Amino acid sequence: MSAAGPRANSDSALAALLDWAAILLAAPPDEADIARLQSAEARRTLLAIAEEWRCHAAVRAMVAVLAADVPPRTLALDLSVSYTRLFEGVAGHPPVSLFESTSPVPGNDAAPGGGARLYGPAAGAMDQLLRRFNLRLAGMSSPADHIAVELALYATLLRAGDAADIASMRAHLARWIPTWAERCQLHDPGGFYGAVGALVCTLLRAGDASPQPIACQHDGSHHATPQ
Amino acid sequence: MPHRNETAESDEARLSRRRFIQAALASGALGSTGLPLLARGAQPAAPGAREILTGSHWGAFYGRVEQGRVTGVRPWEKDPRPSHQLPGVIDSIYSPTRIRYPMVRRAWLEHGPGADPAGRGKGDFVRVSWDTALDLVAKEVDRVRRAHGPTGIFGGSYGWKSPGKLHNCQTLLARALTVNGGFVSRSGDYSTGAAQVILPYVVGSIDVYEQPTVWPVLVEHTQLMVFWAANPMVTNQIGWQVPDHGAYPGMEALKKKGVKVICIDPVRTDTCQYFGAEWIAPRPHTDVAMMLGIAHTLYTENLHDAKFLSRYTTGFDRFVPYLTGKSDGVPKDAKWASDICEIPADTIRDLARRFAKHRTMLAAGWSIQRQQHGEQSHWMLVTLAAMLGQIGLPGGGYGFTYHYANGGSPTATGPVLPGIVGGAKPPPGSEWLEAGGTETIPVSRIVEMLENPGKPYDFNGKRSKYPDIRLAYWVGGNPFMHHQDRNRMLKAWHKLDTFIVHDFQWTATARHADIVLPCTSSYERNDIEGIGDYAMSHILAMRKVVEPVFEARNDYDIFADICGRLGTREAFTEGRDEMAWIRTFYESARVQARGKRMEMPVFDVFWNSNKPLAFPIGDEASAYVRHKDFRDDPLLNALGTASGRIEIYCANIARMKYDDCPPHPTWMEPVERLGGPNTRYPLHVVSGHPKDRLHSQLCGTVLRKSYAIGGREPCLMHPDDAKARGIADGDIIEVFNDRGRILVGVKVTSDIRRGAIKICEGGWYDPTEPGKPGSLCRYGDVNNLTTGIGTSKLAQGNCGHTAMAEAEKFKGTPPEVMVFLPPRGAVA
Repeated sequence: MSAAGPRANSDSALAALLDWAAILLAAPPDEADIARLQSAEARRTLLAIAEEWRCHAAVRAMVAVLAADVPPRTLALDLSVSYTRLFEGVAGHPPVSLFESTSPVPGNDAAPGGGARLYGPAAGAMDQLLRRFNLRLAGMSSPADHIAVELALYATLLRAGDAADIASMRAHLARWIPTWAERCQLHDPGGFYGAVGALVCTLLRAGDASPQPIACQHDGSHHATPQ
Repeated sequence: MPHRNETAESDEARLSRRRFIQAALASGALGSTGLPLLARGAQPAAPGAREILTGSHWGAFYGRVEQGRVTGVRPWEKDPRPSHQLPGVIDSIYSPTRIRYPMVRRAWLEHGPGADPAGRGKGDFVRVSWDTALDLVAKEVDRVRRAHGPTGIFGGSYGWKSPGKLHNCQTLLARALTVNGGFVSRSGDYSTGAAQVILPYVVGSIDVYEQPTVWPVLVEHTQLMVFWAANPMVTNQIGWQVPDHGAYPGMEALKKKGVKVICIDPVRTDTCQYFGAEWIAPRPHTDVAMMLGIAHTLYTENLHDAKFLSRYTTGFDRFVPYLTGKSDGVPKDAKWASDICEIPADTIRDLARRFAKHRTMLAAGWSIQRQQHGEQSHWMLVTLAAMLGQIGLPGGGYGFTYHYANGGSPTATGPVLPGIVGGAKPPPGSEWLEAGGTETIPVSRIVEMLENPGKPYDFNGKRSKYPDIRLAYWVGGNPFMHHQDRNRMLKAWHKLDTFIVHDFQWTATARHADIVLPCTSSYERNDIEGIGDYAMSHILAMRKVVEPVFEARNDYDIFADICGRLGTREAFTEGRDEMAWIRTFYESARVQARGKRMEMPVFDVFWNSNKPLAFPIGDEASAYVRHKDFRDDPLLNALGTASGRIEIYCANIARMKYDDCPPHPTWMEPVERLGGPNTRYPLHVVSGHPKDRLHSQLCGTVLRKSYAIGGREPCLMHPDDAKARGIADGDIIEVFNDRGRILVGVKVTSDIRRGAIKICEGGWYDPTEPGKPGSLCRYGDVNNLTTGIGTSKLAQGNCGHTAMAEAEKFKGTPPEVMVFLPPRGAVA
């Protein structure tokens, strides 16, 4: 795929950003990651992202967290604890599921005992999608319905440029990502992962031309999520 | 719909910005230099739907696998009564609270061993790689061993783990710690801590895990079946190995024949209801007094079998003065017993006469010995059976395993399947590792040990000192469920520098660890096991049903890698991997079978058959009568006691001079009980085994929907007790005493006696303020209320049924149960 015009370039940049978000969600950042995120170059990049996708609130929150007056190792541990508390279920069911199978999706009873389990049908559907596009998981022991995998696949499809595939994957993500993002913000208000949630939702909406666009909270959009 | 201000910028400016962003991301400006998550080249499609036979504590079953995932379970077709708990295993594999990655508590990771022990339980975990986690574990084991010796490490990990001869994680832990210099272990268990210590003095063997007279004999000969604090309809669902459920056809036949059944229990149990049995509900904790009242009637009405007592027992003559009151001025007659147990004296006398008149089997459960002075319960029950003189006769006597793992199911003529052992030797050249030796504490004294390092304690005739533990290592167990007096335990745990846990799920114990290593469930690995703890009717290939989920690894491989870092891998593995060990165990059984003139198939045929290998049950096994040999010839087949007979008075115990364990069965007031003279709280908490889970296993599964009340653990309460407190069916109440507070949901029912409430053990601990002693448990972990004292100096067993409390309706909005909480908004 060539970056021939603004749209193609936008999709490539969007894909790169989705890949970054996917890696942020695949595992908590380490000390070296934090050191890079705190650099002047990173700050310029984040501000450009905010401007480009009108996600100033999310980026502001992210930058504020990264600007904390603590060593990178301390901040990395802070974020790791946040990640674990939000996503790993240490104190019971995780407040936010990283997996489509156990995320609240219309028609999917994600209550414990309600039939929704990890490695559910969504994981099987994603396995099939990966096979269809001749892809497999690399360096990650997880069911394929992990949000990071789904975002990475969406990024790959954006680069490939097939409009139907892109629209289909976006629709797939739109079933659960807005609620997921809302939950990130609910349980990590003002925090790094709350901001990541808002950013991911905004990125998903980018380029969405459907009559009922994806709604995101607190991203500068006027499409507020109903309370 | 535009999302950006299309008019504010030129295309060129936007293009430039996008190029900048793309280039910055490509250069790693945001730290995203990790490996890509996707790679080219698709994985081959998973095989089509298939069923794989494996086993569990709930029975053998086929796991249905579709696209590499378990989608259903089907009980093994030869299971006579599959447990309704079986579907819970799917939930356990795919639980949202599955531990996915190695984790280290942040304070420990930052500041090392001993950092912020009060912070345990608060959930401040940091994900680390397997290499990092294993390095930390190996270094810590090495540090503690070098600085404090092997007695600084507690490896007496206890719990119900999962079945399998290889992946017995507790044995694997013992093996790994042994090859690296030893550790402090534990003796006994929480189930039968008191009985298993005293019974060798009384009947010469542990008895609580031995085969009783088999069910077919009961059906033919027993006229009166007495389940004393035993609920076999519920507890036989599970087995330590893979259960055969052979007790259920036995019970069905007993019922069909119309054998008279009496259930003595504060609760009208499922067993009582199944048999339509006569229900006698004494005050909890007063069974010894009630038995003495029966014994007194037998003696004074000359209904006891003096010949049996003379020929097969010793010390009855020294017990009689106590029974009659000659020695202490208190006759232990029916009236005396009635005042204590609150069963009418006439009923007690009538029981004595009926027991004596009929062929009577006294089938006792274990709860009556999980109490202060619990040793006396089983001693007195054996004494009662001896007075009846039916021990060793078909259908009479006593039995202690009719409720456990399908005891009484006839034993097949098969080989004994060996398993991995904990006592592997240190590698050649490192014999010094053995120098420190290994100490042992009674299993339920772990909190006392942590509270009292270096201080003396009594146990079974010995006086020892508690070791000074710095590191505790736990696998396959959940002490933050099974140990008593939770809040005392929380404080005691602060003593540890380090607490390491392997588990597959975020149990309360895992949450209180410093290092957590995610292990596989037994459905994600290969193993081999027998079917039927007593029946031993089949050998089962426990084949891997699915690949390990997330980063879970087998305990065996985890320990092998830790040993590898400590230079002892070969000593631990003996050069074998998973399948090599399984093959070794099978081949050993095959050699034994040949000795019995049976030819087992070669291993590969067995392994790939997807069928258990069956062994025949002989006529002799189907006619087995406990203690028949002893009765037939008490000299040739003498018991393992000092006298070779049943000891009603025990000189060896007398020599110990314990003030809480006299030398013959004795009623002693416990620290608290219903109706007790010095008891502060009014309700006795009965903490029996649950019907819908195995201790705490499967509490976090679909099964809970069938029993939780208001989302909490159920609490049975008599209508009179409820009315007196303004409590209605379905209310959420707080049950409390000086040790702790829990919330539970009430079921008002006349299936429990007045003054007692039943809250099953095994509810997941869910404190409102994790890590803070005294915090309200929102779900209903009953061990917040129970006492942590030992049964006596003799056995030092746990007292999980010694607990008095008060209850009141919870006012206001009860706090949400968090330990199972679904994501907000998830429930449609």
